[in-house]
Amino acid sequence: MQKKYADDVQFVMVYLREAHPTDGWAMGEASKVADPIDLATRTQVAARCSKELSFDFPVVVDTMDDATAVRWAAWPERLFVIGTDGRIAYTGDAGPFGFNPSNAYAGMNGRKAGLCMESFLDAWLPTLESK
Amino acid sequence: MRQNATSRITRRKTPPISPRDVIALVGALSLVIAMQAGAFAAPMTDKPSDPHAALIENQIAYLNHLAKARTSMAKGNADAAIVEIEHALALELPDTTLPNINLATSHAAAHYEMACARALQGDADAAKRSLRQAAKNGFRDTALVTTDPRLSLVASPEGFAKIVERFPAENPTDSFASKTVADPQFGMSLLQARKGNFPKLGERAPDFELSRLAGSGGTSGTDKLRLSSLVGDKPIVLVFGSFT
Repeated sequence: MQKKYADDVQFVMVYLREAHPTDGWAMGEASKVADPIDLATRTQVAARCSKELSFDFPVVVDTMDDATAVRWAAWPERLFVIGTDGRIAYTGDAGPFGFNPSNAYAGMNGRKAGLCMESFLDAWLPTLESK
Repeated sequence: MRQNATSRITRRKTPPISPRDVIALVGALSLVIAMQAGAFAAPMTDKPSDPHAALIENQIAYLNHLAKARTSMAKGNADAAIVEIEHALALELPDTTLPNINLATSHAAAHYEMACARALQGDADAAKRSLRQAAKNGFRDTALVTTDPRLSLVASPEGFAKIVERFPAENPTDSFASKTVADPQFGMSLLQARKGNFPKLGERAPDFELSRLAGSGGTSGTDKLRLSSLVGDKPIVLVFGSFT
């Protein structure tokens, strides 16, 4: 899926602190893991997530001080689009209710980008709906 | 000396008021009147970008009180801590507006801090009551309970953990509450960022360099990825999230 649109848009996922870990704000079956207490464990969980959801794009893991999540105000989930000039082209609202990838279409110029968002929706929304 | 100075003042001749002085005086008065009338109030466009900013203010105040309480406890001043915690408990917090930063159920965090403050006072019963209330409101962090040195002053960590575990798992829980107890700075930073300090449309994307998952995106091995190194070729869809 990602390969199909890889020529148009670059996906990058930043893996953050768990939103609904089993030892925290548990949400039934959606809570698959406990909140990792070190970077190695968080990386393992990120790898499991990437594998189960078949992510075919770079996944980076936020540090345990959550510095990137805080800088981008991105926890628990959020979506941004960065233009080729390095500037923010779209700022999504914070999730879960503000997390609406389809809105990102407005921040992308061109149908191809929109298609990419659709593919993203296919991959990501089922996981959100299961929460 | 004083009398001489007064004499000099009274002897000084008052200068005549010029038309320029009158204009300046009228201008100054107009400015004061306009300020009082709110003519220089912040324009509507200065509203915080987050529609829940007012509620977030309360949540920031809540975390501030808890942070101060922890500081007081670290200095051994349980009384001062309890004052701060009572301020925190008195704050009205939104229940559902910010579901992932839900501190309302997590007055739990304040009750937890109260349990610690009571333990510092040596009042085991009061500490247990507060911990029970924290658990009832959604506090679930048994790991924190069993390692918090403040609680161990009055009872065994296992005993406190049992209090928390007695509440059924399906009760509303709030990881953010636990996290703000363990690391109030995280909660504070996140709320402040969410209040409006996030990257805005048109701004240069803040750079980061993070460990890249081995094999993700067709690479082999683990390495670092710098966001700015990807800029320029094509738009980047930056997705933040987690498994759960």
